Parts: sequence; C-alpha cells; structure tokens
Amino acid sequence: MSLHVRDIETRFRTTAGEVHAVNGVSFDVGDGELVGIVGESGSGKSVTINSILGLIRTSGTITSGTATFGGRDLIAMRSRDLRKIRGAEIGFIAQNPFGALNPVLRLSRQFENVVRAHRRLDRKEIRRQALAMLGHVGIHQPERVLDGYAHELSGGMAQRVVIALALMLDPTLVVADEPTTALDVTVQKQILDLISTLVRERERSMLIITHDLGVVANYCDRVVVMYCGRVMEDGPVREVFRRPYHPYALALLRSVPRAGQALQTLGGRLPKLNAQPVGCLFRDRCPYRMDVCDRVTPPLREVSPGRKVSCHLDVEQEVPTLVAG
Amino acid sequence: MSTTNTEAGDAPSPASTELMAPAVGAPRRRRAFWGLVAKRLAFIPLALFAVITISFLLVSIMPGDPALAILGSTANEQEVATVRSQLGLDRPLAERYVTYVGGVLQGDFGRSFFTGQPIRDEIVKYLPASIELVVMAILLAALVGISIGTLAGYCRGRAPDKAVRVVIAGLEAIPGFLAGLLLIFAFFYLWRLVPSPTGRLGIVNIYPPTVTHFLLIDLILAGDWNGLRSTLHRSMLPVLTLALAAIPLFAKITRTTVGGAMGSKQIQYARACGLSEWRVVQYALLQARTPILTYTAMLFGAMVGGSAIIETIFSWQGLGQWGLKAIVALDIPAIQGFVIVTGFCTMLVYLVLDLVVAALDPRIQHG
Amino acid sequence: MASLLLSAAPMRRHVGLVAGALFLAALLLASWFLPLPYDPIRPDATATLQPPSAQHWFGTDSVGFDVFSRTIAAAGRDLPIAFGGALAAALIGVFLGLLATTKGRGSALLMRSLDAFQAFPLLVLAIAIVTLTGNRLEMVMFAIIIIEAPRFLRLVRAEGLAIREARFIEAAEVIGAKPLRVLLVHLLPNVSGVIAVQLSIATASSLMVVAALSFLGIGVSPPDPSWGAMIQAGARQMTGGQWWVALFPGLAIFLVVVCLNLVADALDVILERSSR
Repeated sequence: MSLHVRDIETRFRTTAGEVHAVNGVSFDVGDGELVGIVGESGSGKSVTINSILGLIRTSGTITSGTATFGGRDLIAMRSRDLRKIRGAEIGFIAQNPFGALNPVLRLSRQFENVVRAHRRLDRKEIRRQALAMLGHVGIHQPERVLDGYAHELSGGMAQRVVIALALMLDPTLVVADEPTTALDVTVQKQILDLISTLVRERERSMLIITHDLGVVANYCDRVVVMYCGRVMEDGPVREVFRRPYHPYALALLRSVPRAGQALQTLGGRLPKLNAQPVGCLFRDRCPYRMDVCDRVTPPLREVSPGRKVSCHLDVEQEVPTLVAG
Repeated sequence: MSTTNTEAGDAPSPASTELMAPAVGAPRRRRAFWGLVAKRLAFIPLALFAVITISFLLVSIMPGDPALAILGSTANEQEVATVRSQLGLDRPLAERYVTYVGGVLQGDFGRSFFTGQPIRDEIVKYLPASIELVVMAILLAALVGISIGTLAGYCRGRAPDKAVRVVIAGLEAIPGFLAGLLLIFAFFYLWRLVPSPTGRLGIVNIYPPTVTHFLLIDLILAGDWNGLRSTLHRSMLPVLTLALAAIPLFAKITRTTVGGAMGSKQIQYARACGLSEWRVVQYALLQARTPILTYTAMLFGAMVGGSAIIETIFSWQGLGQWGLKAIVALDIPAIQGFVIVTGFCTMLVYLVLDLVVAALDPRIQHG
Repeated sequence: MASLLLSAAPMRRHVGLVAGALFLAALLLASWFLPLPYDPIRPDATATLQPPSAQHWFGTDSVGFDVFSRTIAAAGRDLPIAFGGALAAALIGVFLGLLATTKGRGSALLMRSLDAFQAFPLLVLAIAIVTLTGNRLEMVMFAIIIIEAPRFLRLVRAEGLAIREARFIEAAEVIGAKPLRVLLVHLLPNVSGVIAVQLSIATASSLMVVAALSFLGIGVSPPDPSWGAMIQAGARQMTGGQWWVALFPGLAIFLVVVCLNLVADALDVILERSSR
C-alpha cells in the first residue's frame, strides 16, 4: 500500500529549549516501491519515521502534517487505531536487534505477543507460522531458536528474527530504521539482500532509513535526501546518483570514497534548530549561497518528472555535475 | 555479594558473525544456576560467623562498661565486679569469644538475665510473629508501591507522576511510629473500624494449639476461622503502618526504573510491533524486575528495625518487641541473640533474592 | 517564550530552597531565643491534657507540660543532634569514599565489608549500641554515623569513580600530581555538590533516627523535651482521643523533613544546572 507524507513538523521540548527536529517533510512511497531516506545523523530521519508511526515520546509533539496510508491519515488517527496498524499493516525492523528484542522472554513468547496483539490465533498455530517464517528468513534450526532467548543468538541471526517478526503478519509496508548499522560488515549484505528479496517477492513497499549511500544505491528505487529535518532532494536512485541537483546531495555523493578520485569532505556543521528555521538550512555550508537563501525557505519543487529539489538555484544549469566536480 | 551481570536493555551488544548453536545454552545454564546455589549456600556459614562476631563485639569492645550500664552510676565497685564476673567480662576476650561462638553453634544462646528462660526458646516463640508481620507488610507495600511507581514512571512528568511524587515525599517525612499512632486515632478512636491495638487475638478467642508457632498458620490448621478473621482484623493497622514506611521506597525505585525503561529502544520496538499499552507496561516491568528485587532485599533490613517499634506500639508479641524490651532492660544475652537472629535473617533474604534474580534472568552468567 | 520557560524553572527551585532554609532557621532561632509562653521543663499539674486553646496553643499533655513550648524547645535539641550526626557521617564517609576511589585490593575489601555491614538491620544495631554504652547523647551521634556514613561513602565513591574517568584527572596524574593531592584538589571539589545534597537528605533521615530512638526512650534525659519522647508521651492518649499531645511534635518532624528534602531537591537541580 502506498504512503503519502505531507509537511510533517515535529518539535521537542528539552531543558535547552525547543528543538525543531522535523520542519515540513514530504515524500511518497508508492505501491511496491523501495524508498531510501538518507541523511547525516541528526537530520531528522528517525524522528520523521517515529512521527508517522506514532512513536514520538511525551517530550515531542507533531505540530502539523499528514501521513496518508491506504486512505487513512496516520497522524490524525486515534492512538488505539494506529496501534492496530503498527506491526500488522506496517512491519518494523529495528536498528539493533539486541536492543529491540525482549531479553528475558523466550522468542516464542515474543512471537505470540506480536501476533496476538492483532489476531486471535491459538498458540499452536502461531508457533507453526513462526517456524515457517523463521525458515523463510534463513534460520536453519527454527525450533531451537524459538525456544531460546535473544542473547543466545549472533547479531545476524537476531536481526533475522526481527525481520521474521516484522513480516509475520504480512504487512503491506515495511519500515527499516538503519537495519544493518549494528551488524558486522560481512553480515550487512546478507541481511539487506534478504530484506529486499522478501519485500520484492511479496510485492510490498518498503522504507529504509540509512546514512549509507551504498545501501540506497544497491537496494532502493527512489531516494529522499534529508538535511536538518527537511527534504533536500527526492528522485529515482539512478538519476539522483548520476546527476544530483541539490548542492547538498552533490556534496554527499562526493564524500563517498571512489577509486581513483580524491575524497571530498563537507565543511562546517549542522545549524542549531532552536527556533522556527527561516531560509535554506544548508546555506552556511553551501558554496552557491545567495541573498535569497537567508530570507526565503526554498520550497520542494518538481524540476523534472519525478525529481524534486528544494533549492533556489536553477539547479539544472547552475549545479555542476558529479564527474566534472 | 551481588553477581548480577546484566546488560542494560539499551546497550548495543556487539553483534558477531559466528552462528552460535542457540539452545545448547539451556542445560548449561541450569547447571550453572545450581552451581551458584551451591556457592551461595556455602556462604551461609560465613555470614553466620560474621553475624555472631558482630553481636559478640557489640558487648565486648564497645566503649563503656555493660555492667555499669546495668547497675547505674550509683553502684559500688563490689557490685560491678560481681556483675562483671556473672557476664564473664573478667575473662580474657579471646576465651570469651571461643566460649560464646561454641555455645551459639550448638544452639545455646544463654539464658535471659531477667526471665531465666533459654534465649533460644524465646526466639522460637517470638520470631514467627515478626516474620508474619514483615512478610504481610512487604507484600502490601510492594503491591501499592510498585503500582503507583509504575503509574508515575509511565506518565513521567505529567499529572499522575506529580501526584505520586507528592505522596512519596509526604510518606517519607512521617516516622513509622507516628503513622501508627495516627492510624490508631483514626481507625480505632474516631471510626471504631478496628479492635483496640493490643495483641494479635481478641480476648474471647482462644489461642490455637501451637504447631508451627506461626499464629495464622496454626489457626488455619486448627480450623478456627473466627480466630483467623479476628487475627487478620487486628493485623490490618500494624501491617498498614509498617507498609506505609516501605511504600515510598518501592514507589521510588519502580518509578525510576519503569520511567527509564519507557524511553528504551526495547519499549519503542514493542510499540512499533503494535503491542497494547498493557503489554508495553508489562515489558517495562520486566526490565524493572531485577532492580526492584535487589532493592527489596535492602529494604528488608530497614523493615526489621522498623517493625520492632511498630510491634511495641501494637503489642504484637513478636521478636522485635521482645528484643527492644531486652535492649532497654540491658538483658545482654537476649540482645546478642536478637542481633544474631535479625542479622542472620536479613542475610538470608539477601541470599534468597540474589538467587531469585539469577533464576529469573536468562542473561545472567553464573559463577 | 522558550526563554521565559527556562528562566521560570530554576526560579521555582530557588523558592523551594529559600522557603525550606528559612523555615528551618526560624525554628532553630525560635527554640534558642524566643521567649516561650511556658517553661518547657516545668509542668503545670493543674492543667493536664488540655485541648488546644488560646492559653495552650497546642494543648497540654498528661503531666501538664505545654505542648507548644516543648515542641519549639525540642527543635533546639533534635536539630543540632541530627545535623551534627549527619555532618560527622559526611566527614567520615567522604574521607573513606575518596580513598575507595583508588584502585586496589583495599578498596575492594572495603566495599565487600560494607555490603555485609549494610545487610544488617542498622537501626536495631544503633539502638543496641546506644543502650549498651550507657544511653549517652554522643552515642546517638555515633549511631547516626553508623547508619549514614556508608551512604556518603557509596555516593562519593560512585561520583569519584565517574570523575576519575575524566580527562583532567588523568592529566593531573600524568604530570605527576601526588595521589593525595589528586583526591583533595581535583576530586573533592567536584563531588562537593552531591555531598551538599546528600548532607541535606542525611540530616532528614538522622532526624528520623533521633526521633525513633527518643520515642523508645533511648538517649533522652527527661524532662528535657525531644520530639520522639513527646510522641511517646502522647502515644497512650491516642486511644483516648487526645490527639494533640503526639500530633504537634509529629507535625514538627514532618515539616522539618519536608523542608530538608525540599532543600536537597533544590540544591540538586541548581548544582546540576550550573555544572552543565
């Protein structure tokens, strides 16, 4: 099922004042599409996802925006109804399986708890389905895993269990928050291959949050580049990677190590987000800064079919291409 | 003493590639647990020894002369010397120590100066009543304290949390004996809801034949339901009084741990899976379980001290009341027996809860 | 808007600190200098168990003591003992706690024996010690030290160990500062905040200990007033409905403990904030 996010704003109250973590984020996840959200840490990726899923804690509030999923607005929905969608229609894959799984409950119990939160099934049936699902995610001894605890597993296996839990109720959208960051490099590819294969063969949609451009390049159809709680660029992966329009996306791609090319780094740091931000948030680090960038927030506009950029520049003319840079 | 070696729910565990055979852990874990039990049981004699020594030193190397304390400052030297030799204080320290430890290990705590009864018989008679009081009070305090602590931790920073914090601050500032008196005034004098705060059984009730020395159990064994009702009725105020002192402690530790758990990745994931809020709170309490149990053990020592005063107020006829009487009367063998028993009981509780924590948490590495 | 909220929060904390401290100071000064309506240690046998009235604000007890005069006068005894005991416990606990931050077998042994010691019902031990040593007032202080010093020790050790991890201690050790100098010059000032907070908490809990002991008639010499002893005197009256004898001294304990905890909370927030 498709997800349409429009103008989400989320703020947090902290001891150091208000923090505007997400400042009007919009993007779409089409049917059967795999979308990656990339950005540095602190760019508001996770907060955006948590806002959509209703997982913002008490210190934070969503001040505006809609997230339409299958014709229903998740933001406006009562928390009781949203709970029924989470886990059943939207599966969630956490970053660190050991932080996410309950350490003191047998995994069989955790499968039961998740299934019973949404369906009336007896224990035997849940066990049968869980064993089948564990088999699908490539666990060889599902019986033993199911009767054990999370800490008895290796990182890769634990993440496979989390994937099995996410897919247990056959959700139409899978959300994965940095699904491989906590894992060894050697396991990362296996896990990503597994997730994308499972999602694609079931023709489901998926949203991956990552700071790793390689993950986006290899597994996603479309990419959403975020910076300081705003979308900077949004477009098909092939096109954006070949010819980024936004100066930030350009800088981000240049910071990826490539054979035979000098690595370029991005100077400066993230601006503080204590007040309602005005103007372009990237301007302090942008080599093409203009007067208008200080005063006017650039809207996310469509520059060519399927490609959106929030920049005051005439990006097709004024931003250099990746290779030439 | 503590062997809990748990990872915090949030701590990123090193994820490794090797495919560890998963469930072989189970039998090995069980064996390791019984190993821990054996190790802890081996610790008991050591604890007992330490307790006896402290109780011995209490009388022997404290500044001041117990004989003088017993007789008062008007006593002449002759009298002091007599009492000192009665107490055995005229013999060398090492000799007295060996004699005393030898006696206690054979179950001989000496005889009371005043009643002449063997201390051991008195302990057997009075200890069960105290255990009944403390156990009932701890259960009540845990029930109430964990409930309001969970509410506060779940609603951290919002109105219910603030209300619970006011209750905690208020209860913490009331000495237990004062709370007992205020409850007596309200429930006995004003509202006549409970019988007079004297003893455990009404005058019309007959004490059941002594089987276990635990009055509640003996009443059940005797099938005396009227007596049981009367005893429970009379237990209400003392149990409530003692529980009031422990409620803020349970509430505080629960509020902190549940509040912390609510912000953890584990709870966020549980919510992301669509678990109901009841289930989410249950997960948070599972995380809070170990600190609460560890804390209960620490609380137990304080409860034993507190119960001595509460027993006195309500004439509970327990070990605490007996011990306080002995202390005020300077009945030294009784004081020593009292210190040994209370100290040893507290250590036993520590030990048992340590084992419970180990048995409940699958992650703890035993040994 | 945000800045307004920010400045308002610590202001509220200061109110707690000032109100708490003022009440305690006023109570103490009153007990020392205020002319009391009646002699706190001379009873009026013609006026026993009078309910609160214009003559006797808090009523009188069964012997004829004026409860108000005794409640105020008792502050001059109970508060200094509680504070003195807490201070002595702080000195000993902080000293041992700082030593325990050093690595080594000695410090581990100290913590193990502390575990065993604190497993004891310390109030019972305290009562036994005070009685066996002849019921003297200074032994009440000793009892408080036994109960409170381990808490200071643990606190200072935990804080000290955390600070030791910090760079500047390492730097001081690298340039060759003597261990004692590191403890006193670098560690102590950095734990002084938590010590101040704990001192306030410890005074409150010492007051409860003092009250419990004097409730049992331990460490008091009648007819000197003490809140615990006054509550004991009123205990028998509770079943007869003469609530005032025990209630007012009890209220005094309650208010003092609340004030001390208020001060501790306020100090905690203020020190925490200024250090960040």
